[in-house]
Amino acid sequence: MIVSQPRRLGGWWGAPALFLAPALVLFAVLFAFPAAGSLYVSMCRWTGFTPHMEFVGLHSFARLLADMKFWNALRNNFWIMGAGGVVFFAFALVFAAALNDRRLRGRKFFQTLIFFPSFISAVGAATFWKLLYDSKSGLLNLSLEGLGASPVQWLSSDNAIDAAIVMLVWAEVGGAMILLLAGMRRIPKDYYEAAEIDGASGSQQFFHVTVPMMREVVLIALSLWMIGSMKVFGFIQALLAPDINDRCQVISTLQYDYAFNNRRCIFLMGEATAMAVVQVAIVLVLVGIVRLLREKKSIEY
Amino acid sequence: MPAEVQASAARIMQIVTIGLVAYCLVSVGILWAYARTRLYPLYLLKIAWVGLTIVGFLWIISMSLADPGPQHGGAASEFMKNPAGPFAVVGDYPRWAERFYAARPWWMFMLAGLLLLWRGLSGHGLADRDSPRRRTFRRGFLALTAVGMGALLLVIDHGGEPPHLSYTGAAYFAALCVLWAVLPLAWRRRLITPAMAVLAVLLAAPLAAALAHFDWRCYTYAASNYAYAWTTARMGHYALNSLLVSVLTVAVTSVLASMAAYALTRLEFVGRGAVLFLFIGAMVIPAELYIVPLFLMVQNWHVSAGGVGFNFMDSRLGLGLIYAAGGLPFAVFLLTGFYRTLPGTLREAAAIDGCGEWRMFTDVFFPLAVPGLATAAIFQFLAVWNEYQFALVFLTNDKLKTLPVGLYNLSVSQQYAANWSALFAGVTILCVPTFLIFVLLQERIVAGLTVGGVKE
Repeated sequence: MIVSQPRRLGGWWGAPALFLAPALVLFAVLFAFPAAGSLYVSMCRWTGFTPHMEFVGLHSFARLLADMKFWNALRNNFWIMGAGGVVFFAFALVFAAALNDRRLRGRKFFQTLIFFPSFISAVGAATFWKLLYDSKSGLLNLSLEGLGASPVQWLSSDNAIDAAIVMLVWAEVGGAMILLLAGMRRIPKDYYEAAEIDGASGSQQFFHVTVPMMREVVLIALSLWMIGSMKVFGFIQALLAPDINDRCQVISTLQYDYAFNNRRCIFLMGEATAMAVVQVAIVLVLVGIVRLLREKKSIEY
Repeated sequence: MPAEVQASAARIMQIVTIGLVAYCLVSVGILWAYARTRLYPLYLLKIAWVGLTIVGFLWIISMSLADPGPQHGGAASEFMKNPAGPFAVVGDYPRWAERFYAARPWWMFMLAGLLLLWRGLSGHGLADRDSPRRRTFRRGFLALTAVGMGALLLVIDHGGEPPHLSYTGAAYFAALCVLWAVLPLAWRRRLITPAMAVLAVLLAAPLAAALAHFDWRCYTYAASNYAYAWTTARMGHYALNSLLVSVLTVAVTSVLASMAAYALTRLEFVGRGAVLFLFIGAMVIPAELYIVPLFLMVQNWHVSAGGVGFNFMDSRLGLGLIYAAGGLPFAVFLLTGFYRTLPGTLREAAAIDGCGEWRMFTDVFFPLAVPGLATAAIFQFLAVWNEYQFALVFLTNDKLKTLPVGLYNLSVSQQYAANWSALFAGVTILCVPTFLIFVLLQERIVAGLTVGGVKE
């Protein structure tokens, strides 16, 4: 049928160009071009004061390798990803399981209140926790005081990253919970009935039917968590700023510090961008690994 | 009393305290074990989690009503010696209540403990259809609780003098233990009434006394706190800026992404796959990667058209365009998915009616794609409303800043100015409207998240 062929207005490329041009122009100028340019900037030395950048090749990367602050920040990111990830998935899985159980009442209420924090801005959540963590008049230390215990410096340089992990889990667990819940609801009921007939208990059903069947969704949530924990910025910045201890920096806050912090005498645009390139490379590798896992073995429904 | 005796008493009390903590942990463990298959711990965990959120927000809202202190127009502020208000005052109740409480807990704890011991040992009140193993668990748990309460009595008998646990702390700790013991039974709704009655007296008497003696006048400063946050700290300005930038971004992204998605799904042209790949692939690029080059690129841009000029840096329009460019990949991804679900026969029918490509888009496909567009728009709006990093870098003029940056400024500056109440008000201003909108849109957000994530 002729009409089923796409109509081409104004020549071969006319209509598509008309529809695509505005989006492509905006995307190219304010996204794709600077993103590609980051590779170039990362190979330059530029302090923000001279009119021209100086091309220095991989110099910035070499300086990063020798920069203890960078390694420390990277370690913090990986600690958040690893230790935080364990807590994060434990809670996400438990909450999703609890919300999926029809015997429990008030599921809507719990879903709303667990999911809500991921809806507030990072700064709002961080300020909320900053007030809770405050060493003198924060809610946590007041409660400890009420119980007669001595107050804890939650945001000291020793504890700050762990405190941030608690905040991140609180703020982000809702999204993963929703994903896992959606995954659970897609598991056919027959599987559970079969398991029931075989005499599997509730927890056995959970670990032998629910978990394997949710592999796909778990891996998606896992890659989202990995991306999120590698690029976490607002939470850390708003929780610990204005003076973030060097031991508590993460990559993004260190990058902001190098590139834009007015307190510095010299801006390190090259190093900052090189850091971002390394960060993206790590994220891509990790997400790639997860993708391979997904493709290797996925269970047929 | 000789000093050595006092010291050894202190030592004993310390050991008892540690023992009590250990007891609490053990009882939690047992509770977990015996109820493992009932999802009961999950329920408790959820309650604790949600409880933290609720108590935290209630605390923040209550503090936003509180006296900001004399240097910010508050009272001479005798109320504010302890800024926690009732939360601290609970541990600080008046003398007569303390005496009352000091005299009674013996009997209350004895009563509750005996009740639990009896229930535990007799197995009375436990569901008959429970398996023997589970019944054993429950009995053990209840008996252990009773023993633990006996240990608690020791602490309370000493009035909490030498050890770390304060008198009030011990009392509430005991009440918590009772709660642990009682809640699983609440599940069965057998023992709940008498136990709850005991608990209510334990908890409510000092609480009521404390609240009766609490000076509520320190919570009458809402107007001045919110006025400070809204006007002096410019949260009103910032909210308006956020709204402007968000609406601009959503409008630009929606229109451009709809057109692009239409072309990418309904038109055929060379390189369609490449363009689609470009957009989808861009979703993995984080803001950090291009923020520095983008900053270097636009920092000296001065755009002028038709006599009206503006600097790209430090303008809401510029920031909105940056957001729109950043939001395009996800919007295109979501909308191409949605356009693909629309029936292809629509196109044929419209073509027969002599519809041009542009009208096909505006009159046929665009209206049909509105539900998908709404999801994309909500996500975009949220992302921009909450965005922090770009706003921090690209807006330096204080009048133009957005809400997250404004709240960040308020939180940093209050460390020097120490107007805590205004900061609490600022957090409330940010969070409460968000909560209301969230409750309204939750279904759609959940659906959008599920579509975006699961059907990737």
